[in-house]
Amino acid sequence: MNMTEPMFLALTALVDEPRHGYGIVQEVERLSDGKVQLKIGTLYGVLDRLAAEGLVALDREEVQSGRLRRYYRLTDSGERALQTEVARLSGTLQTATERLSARRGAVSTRPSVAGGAA
Amino acid sequence: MSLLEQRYRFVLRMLPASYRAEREEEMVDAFLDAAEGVRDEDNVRPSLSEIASVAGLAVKTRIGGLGAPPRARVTGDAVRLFALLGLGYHAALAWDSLAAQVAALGLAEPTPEYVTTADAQWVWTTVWIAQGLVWAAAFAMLALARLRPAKVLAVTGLAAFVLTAAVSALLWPETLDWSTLAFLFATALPVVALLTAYHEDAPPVRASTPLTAAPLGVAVLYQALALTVGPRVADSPAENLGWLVPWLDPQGVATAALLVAGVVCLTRRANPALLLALAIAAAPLIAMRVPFGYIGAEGDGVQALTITMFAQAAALAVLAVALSAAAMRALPRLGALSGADQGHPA
Repeated sequence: MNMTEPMFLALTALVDEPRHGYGIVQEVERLSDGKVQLKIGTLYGVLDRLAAEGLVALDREEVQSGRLRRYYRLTDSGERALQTEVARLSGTLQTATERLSARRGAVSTRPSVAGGAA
Repeated sequence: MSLLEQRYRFVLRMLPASYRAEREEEMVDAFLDAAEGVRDEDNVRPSLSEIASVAGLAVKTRIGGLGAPPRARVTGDAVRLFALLGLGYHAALAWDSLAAQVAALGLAEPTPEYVTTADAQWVWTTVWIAQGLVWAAAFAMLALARLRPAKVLAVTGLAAFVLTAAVSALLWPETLDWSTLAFLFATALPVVALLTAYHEDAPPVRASTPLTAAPLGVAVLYQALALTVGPRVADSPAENLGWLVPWLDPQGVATAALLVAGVVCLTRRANPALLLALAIAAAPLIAMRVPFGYIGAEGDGVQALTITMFAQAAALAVLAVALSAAAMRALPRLGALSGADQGHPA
């Protein structure tokens, strides 16, 4: 399955505890250092897809100040899907790190240039 | 209910009723949580980005992809297939007119006598060739599963067509008639289908290199038809021409092909997405076949031409209704989640 960044972040937001809609939005914003601010329409598109794939499930419903609040939790297959994606990303990260190290090694052997590699 | 809540619930009406029954309350809860502390006096409205996200969700829930309920998934597959057929039609048309345009530029012999190669003609011809190549490339990109370039090229092709039609309407107002508007509709519909149906939840497209050449093949077949049947038809009496010609132009051949394909699919009980895709494809052809431009016109064979075109439009309309009905009837036979995760439902 092709996992988009919002899907990945939403799954990650549910690892430690079940959360409701806006709780996921806040957690995703925290996880991404404020870079990803899910709109409500986008969030529910992501949740629909994750629920259809069986990666998240309804945990419980509550009524808060007269409003319906649904909490979602990560399922076992959601956890496995997230682990697979993390492994894939880790591989990419490792390759990038190795190449950067190799480049730094190559750069440091050259005469330094003003304003060169930071 | 606060003013902001009222406004947000109004925005949510873009979503299908069945979806709202399931999700509206929690979406309102999440939205109002995000807008904590807003008072009616502030006269706040949902932001454009929130509205756009609901619009995107509305498109995804109606034109479904992976994990969508059966009805939405079939609609999605049908719209995706229609986008492929529609872009294919424009690509075939482009290859077909490319030969004529190249001849018009005098790059190929024989140059038809009716073609003028004034400077202005050069410009127009070059524009037409470029436009045609854009459609051919857009279809090829879709066939190769390169969705982003396909969308960019298709939008470029549509924008170029709108621009040339607008310029020509300003220079020669009489050229802006029903047929131009119908062709604009026929050009825009597959592009809209491409933009809306190939969203992030759409099933992955299987890239097919041979498919990229399909429009060229269709154009070659059409040219073969034109060269063999054309001269014989041209020698017919004018009265007969009126009955024959509407079956021989590209739209006429497409009409005949759609009628045959539609009847075959109805008798073979084809899958509902294919039935629905052909029903959608009938709409632009109906628009292009309605003979508004000829009604009341005088001349040999014009009456026959008008009657034939009207009959084609009517036949297509009947077929579209029959196809839609058959598709709807076939839907309940589907399981909870339709189909394998395949690309084009061919």
